[in-house]
Amino acid sequence: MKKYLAYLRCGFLDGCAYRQYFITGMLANFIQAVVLFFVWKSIFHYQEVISGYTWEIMKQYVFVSFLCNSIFSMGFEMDAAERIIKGDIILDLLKPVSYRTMLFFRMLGTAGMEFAVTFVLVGGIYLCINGVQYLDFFRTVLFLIALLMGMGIKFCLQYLFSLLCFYTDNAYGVSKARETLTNFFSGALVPLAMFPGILREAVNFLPFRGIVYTPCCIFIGFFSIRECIFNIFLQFIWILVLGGLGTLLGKKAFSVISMYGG
Amino acid sequence: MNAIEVHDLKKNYRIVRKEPGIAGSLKHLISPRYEELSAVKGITFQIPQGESVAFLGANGAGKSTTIKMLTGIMQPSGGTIKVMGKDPFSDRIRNAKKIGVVFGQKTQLWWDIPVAETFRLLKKIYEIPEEQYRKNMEKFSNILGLQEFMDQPARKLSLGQRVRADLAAALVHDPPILFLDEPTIGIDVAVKQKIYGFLKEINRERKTTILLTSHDMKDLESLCDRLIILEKGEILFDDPMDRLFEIYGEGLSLEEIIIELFEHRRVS
Ligand SMILES: Nc1ncnc2c1ncn2[C@@H]1O[C@H](COP(=O)(O)OP(=O)(O)OP(=O)(O)O)[C@@H](O)[C@H]1O
Ligand SMILES: [Mg+2]
Repeated sequence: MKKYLAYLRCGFLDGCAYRQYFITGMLANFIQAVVLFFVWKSIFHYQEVISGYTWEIMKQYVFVSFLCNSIFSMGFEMDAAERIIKGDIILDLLKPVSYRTMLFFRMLGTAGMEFAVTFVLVGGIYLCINGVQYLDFFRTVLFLIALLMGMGIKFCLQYLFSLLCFYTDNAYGVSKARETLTNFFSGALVPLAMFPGILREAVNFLPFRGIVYTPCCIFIGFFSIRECIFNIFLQFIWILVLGGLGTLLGKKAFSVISMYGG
Repeated sequence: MNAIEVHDLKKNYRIVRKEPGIAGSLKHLISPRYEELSAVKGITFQIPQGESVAFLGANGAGKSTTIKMLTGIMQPSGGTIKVMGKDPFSDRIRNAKKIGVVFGQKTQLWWDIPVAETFRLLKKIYEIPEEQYRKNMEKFSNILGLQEFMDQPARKLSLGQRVRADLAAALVHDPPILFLDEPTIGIDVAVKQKIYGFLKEINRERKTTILLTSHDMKDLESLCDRLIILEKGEILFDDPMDRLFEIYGEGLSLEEIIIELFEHRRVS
């Protein structure tokens, strides 16, 4: 475990070395959230309730979903692909550590700074707009657990997508595809409850909802405590399934990869 | 005991057959054509513990390919490898603890954070005891002059400085087996001499097994007892260094012999 904490540290330092990059990236995300905020505001101006959502709820949803979505938002497909194409992955594999666990802690370190800044920023804005009236201690704890679980799901998905880069050189495409899928099906843009008929049912069977929608609903109070527990359990199952898939496909990918350079 | 046993080792790369130009690229998109390139064609050799072996061959002979398989990061297309009795690919993590690797043209240093942080990380990864770590770092600092640039990020180092740091990074956990793929590119002669002196020392004292590739014959000659010459994925020569001189006459230098050997093979 100490080994991986050392990776966390290096990832964090690495993230700090790139802080301008982070800050511009985050600013871009943040502008998106603000735009979304005003779009919803004008929509609710015309219709008071949409699929059970009122403006009061939406005001929370926009910021909480932004927070949930911003963790690991950079994605490491590009990074992983670059290491494969340049052959630097060789150096990762030469270490007596599990590749995936190493990646997780390295990313966690790098994302740690990003997350801390976002948390303070978004939290501050949330409080300015909504005050403390909706906060509930027990729900907040459940929310944080769900948030962590969502992070796990996101990591597993990113790992799976990064394995695709073993087969294709088009890392940008892979990264964009994953981003679009997660943004749409996780509820980061539109609450899943607003999806039309069959699609709304379908997304319940996808892992993406665990990333944003589940923690958001827990925080806002759409789920009863029972539902909260059930949904967190569901997130956990998805982590196991996606993690298992990653192990399986990882084994395959590592046996076909040809190490470049030399 | 044999540190390394290789039997009928093969590696085929799948390479893309693409016609030049845009038309060729488009055609490739629709119906990609692949070809197998046989980089290593069934080689067999053993290296006993404590031996230092030079791996020699023209560009593209398959030296780096072989080393990648020996280090357990790439799966062979055929044949078997045993490093300290275990298959390095299926046992990658365990194997990684026992080996030290330098790929001269790559760096394991973190690009944007100080070199010292990389070493700190290595200490944790390999679980190196404090005492051993301190002793090693002191030694490397003397030989390789690391302290000049320990606080710099790797991207700010000169080529030679970077390679020096990489060499130290590969040795810091006292691995019983060393794979060095062109470990001295870009290093000036004075430091190079020190490095080979040091490698010779650990080879003698700690019985470290060394497999080294280099295009610098003097390096190979000064360090290695045995020579394996690869050509186009096959072993052309595998004997003690002295044998080569017996065959080709004492008067010639290793370099001259090798040049003659390659020329000769090309004609025949
Ligand atoms: N990842 C790869 N994909 C396809 N072909 C490769 C790959 N790596 C190496 N090759 C090919 O395999 C052959 C052996 O390459 P290798 O890198 O092992 O040579 P080498 O002996 O290390 O040469 P050098 O002295 O130039 O370093 C070469 O013909 C090379 O083109
Ligand atoms: Mg090579």
